[in-house]
Amino acid sequence: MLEVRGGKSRWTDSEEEDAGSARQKRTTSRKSLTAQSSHDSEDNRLDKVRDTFIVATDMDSDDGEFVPTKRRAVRKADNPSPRKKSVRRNTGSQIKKSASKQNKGKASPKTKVINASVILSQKRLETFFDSSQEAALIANGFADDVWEDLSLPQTQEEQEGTWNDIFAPKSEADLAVHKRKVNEVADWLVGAFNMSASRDRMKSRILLLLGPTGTGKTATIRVLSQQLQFDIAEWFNPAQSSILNNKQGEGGAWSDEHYASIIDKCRTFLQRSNRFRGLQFADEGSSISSPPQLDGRRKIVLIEDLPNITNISIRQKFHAMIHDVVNSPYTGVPLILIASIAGVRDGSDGDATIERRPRDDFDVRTIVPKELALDPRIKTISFNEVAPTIMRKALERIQKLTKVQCFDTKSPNFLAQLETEFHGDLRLAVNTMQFWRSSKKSAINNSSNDGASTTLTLFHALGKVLYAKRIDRPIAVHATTSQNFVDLAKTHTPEWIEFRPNNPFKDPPDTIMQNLPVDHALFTLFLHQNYLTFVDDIDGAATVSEWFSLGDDLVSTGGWERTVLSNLYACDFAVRGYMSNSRLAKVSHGMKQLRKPELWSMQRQQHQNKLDMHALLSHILPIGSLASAHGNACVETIPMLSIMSKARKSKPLHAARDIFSTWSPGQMHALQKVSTYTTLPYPRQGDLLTEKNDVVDEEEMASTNPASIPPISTLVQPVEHPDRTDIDSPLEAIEDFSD
Amino acid sequence: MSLWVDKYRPTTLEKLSYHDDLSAHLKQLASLPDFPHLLFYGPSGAGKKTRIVAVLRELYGAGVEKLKIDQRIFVTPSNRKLELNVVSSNYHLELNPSDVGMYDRMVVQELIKDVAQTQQVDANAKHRFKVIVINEADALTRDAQSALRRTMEKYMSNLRLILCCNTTSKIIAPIRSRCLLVRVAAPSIEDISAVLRTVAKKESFKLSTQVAENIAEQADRNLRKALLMLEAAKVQGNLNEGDAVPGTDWEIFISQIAASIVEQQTPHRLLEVRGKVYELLSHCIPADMVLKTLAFELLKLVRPEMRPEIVHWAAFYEHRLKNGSKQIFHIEAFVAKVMSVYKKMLMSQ
Repeated sequence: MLEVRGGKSRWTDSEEEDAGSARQKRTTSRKSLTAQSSHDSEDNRLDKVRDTFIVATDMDSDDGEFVPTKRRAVRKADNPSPRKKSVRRNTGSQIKKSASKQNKGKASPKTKVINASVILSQKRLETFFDSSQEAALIANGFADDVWEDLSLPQTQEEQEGTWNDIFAPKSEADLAVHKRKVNEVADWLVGAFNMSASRDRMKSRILLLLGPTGTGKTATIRVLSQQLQFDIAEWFNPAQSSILNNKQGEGGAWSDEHYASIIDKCRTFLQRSNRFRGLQFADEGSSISSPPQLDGRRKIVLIEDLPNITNISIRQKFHAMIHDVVNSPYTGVPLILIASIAGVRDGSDGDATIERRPRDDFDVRTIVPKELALDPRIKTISFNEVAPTIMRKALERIQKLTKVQCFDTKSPNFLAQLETEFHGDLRLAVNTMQFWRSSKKSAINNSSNDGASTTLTLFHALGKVLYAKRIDRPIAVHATTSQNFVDLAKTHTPEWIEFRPNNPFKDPPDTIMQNLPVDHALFTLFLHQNYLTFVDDIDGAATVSEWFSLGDDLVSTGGWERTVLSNLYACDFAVRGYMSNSRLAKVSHGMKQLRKPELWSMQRQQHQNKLDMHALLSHILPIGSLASAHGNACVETIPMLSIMSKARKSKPLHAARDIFSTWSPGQMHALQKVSTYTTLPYPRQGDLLTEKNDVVDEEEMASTNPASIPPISTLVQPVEHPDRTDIDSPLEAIEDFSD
Repeated sequence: MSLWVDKYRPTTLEKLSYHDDLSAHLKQLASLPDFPHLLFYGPSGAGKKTRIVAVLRELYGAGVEKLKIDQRIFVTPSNRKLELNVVSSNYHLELNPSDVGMYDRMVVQELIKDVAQTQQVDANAKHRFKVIVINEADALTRDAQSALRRTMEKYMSNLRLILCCNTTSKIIAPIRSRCLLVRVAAPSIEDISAVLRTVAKKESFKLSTQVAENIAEQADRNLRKALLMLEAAKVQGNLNEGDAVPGTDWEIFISQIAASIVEQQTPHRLLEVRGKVYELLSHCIPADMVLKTLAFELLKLVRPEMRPEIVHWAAFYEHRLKNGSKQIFHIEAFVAKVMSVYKKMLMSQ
């Protein structure tokens, strides 16, 4: 169903809806295709379905948007009249606080109750479903406060929803995005709307907005939709909606429609939203080249709720979809994709096996097919983290509107605090503000003490562990017992542990461990890569390396189902073992370079060598020995062959005796490659981990070594055994490389 | 051209050159109607595989030498495609399930069951059963071994298994008890020397007993390695008495690592060693082999009173290595420990 309402279109999957919307399309005139009239023409059942749908989509649409909760809540009510009013009021607009307030005044008491409950449940859902910030809050014991707060009888204002919704920017001036960025997006949009199909076919089909969460990607689009007067047809993953539909008995049994995969639905959505536009062209009877925007409202298609493109098959379908959009004839409806890129991704455990888990990562390469990444028809605009000054301005605006003095924005080090607390995530800042409003305390000062801060970056987390800074904090010894305890602890502490009760860690291991940006196994790898440069004594190194070893031993003894937990312990071992090591350099370390683990490049190399060895062996060994050949080959056959080939160079053999007489130069080269050991200079270049560059990037890892560019995805397959028929293929590749 | 090690591999039980008692036993077994499941074990290069092939030949005649190699594709429950090379004749099938890592259970269940459920195609075959040879059986996961155990019981009528492994300690007891264990000990220096001289004779060059025995010793009584070394030495032209036996690059590399450990004991040196160990691992040298070779190279370089400690820590971290998944952690911990111990010893003097 395409439901045009208030500048937003929503899409559901029921069949009646399709029929309904089709009918709607047929019967309504072009002009009347505005929000109000389409609404007025809908029947009761549609309303009901939509209401459930809206409630459902609230769950998954809350990330990164300023969607007016108020509006949804009102629409949930049984009473149709306030709902319609509210719809009218919101037509073609963003959240209008005044409007919703006005509406609240008119709503019946019953509506209010339902409103409250819906908001309540939505908030709870958000608490579960939303990303890091809420999770962090729960983890740090904020959850209780939140629950309490929500279950208390609430004031009028508190029922409104989150401040993010209420105070969403309404104009470009309110937008906490750099003006240049906004203009860039606006320019693109204008260009996309005004381009003539014949001339600029190659331009402006898809806009991809990338950036960390809470940097105003969606807000920019929504503000511009008002400014430039266009509608947004937005895609929502309908997963929850179908479940809810069914629960309500809507549609009875599960139909096939419910099982259509999300990506297929998404594709249909795209096609239909384009066709919708196309119908209008037909009505006009004019040539395609005339800008359709002159007549109807302009429209964009927004996909923010991306299908699960981490799954390879879904990603392929998604890419095919993007291909379709790019290559289809111009319809005047640009597609905008919005993706939040977390600073650091969920890491793999860097296990000895080549296989890797699909990562929860979005970047240009996963969203847009590789071959289209540089296509002029797809424009990528990256949003940066909100600058502290801009964020201060935005927060001040909200403080002024709410009259809640949450932050001390005048404080001299406020900007720095903003930086460390929120990492440029405005949504998080506003949420924090809202959560803390009741406590009447300064949010920042409190949260930093309670560890409510967001995760550290990988670079900083590593630095905190590796430098293991201590502070001078003389502990007042209250009683003799505690003094006794200190003495006891001193005598019983192993000599390799640094026992300094008066110099606690500046950042205790617990705090660091809680705020890791990557999973524990990955962090352990990074730590392992870097710890040696921070230890200046071999006994210390032996102690710490023993902790790494013990930790790894533990990880694997628990069985795979316990690795997550035991990875945590292993990491804990490593972190504490390192930090409390008495042999750490006592002097200041100065600036030291941090590096990314070499393990990955080693594994890639290993895999490549394995393939090459297989190819070589299948050339020289009889079939019968092949199945069992590999184990011995690396240590016996290949090294011996290498000796023979070297000797042959200096002393050519009789052809009949020469085992290499049938070998191609490429094969000889491969043999050299897999059997030559070089002492690489240390430290190696190109694998530095810096503050700016601490994204764990597989592609980047792959590119550190020019010899093996294949992306990890191709390595996911198990070791290949080249058929005897295509023996030469891997070798020829090597040959090419050698040239 | 094939290597000598393949060219002069005996194909029948009669032609085997050592362990004559064993050959006689195997011959008798093959002639009996109730051929059991077999489990060959012994160090590498002892001739397990050669004996297995000879037994197959004894069972079915020359037909088993008509081999073909094909790739079987399995789809895991998680929709991953696995490819496994299978070498087969009309009568037998040879595979290396550990190639697919943790998915070996699927291979055991699907492939072996497939074979087990079909009858012998060749009506003239000497035996009704088919044989499946499983290489590196000690690398099979526990799950796979359990699956194998069921298969062995259920399809005894038309299937025999021949397992081949280095050690029985990683084979679960139920499988061990269902197989006839065949130990193939490493050949003695004299055995190897004799084989080397036979090969030299066939290749028509002279090989003195002393050189042959030298090679046999250098090869750690590993016949395959000895033959490869002989061939390499022949290509090099180093077959006179007193000539150095060619060592492999990786062993030389490890001896360099050992030397650098003894030379200096600092975290920086440890970092360099780590880089070298990565280099070895990336050349597919198994981590346990690296650790073992390194330990033995170190033993050559240190004073006698330190040797027990090095052996102790080598064994300790070898155990960790087998349990753990990040090999570098354990090798590095071993090196660090040795450095620390070595330094302490130097200081105390």
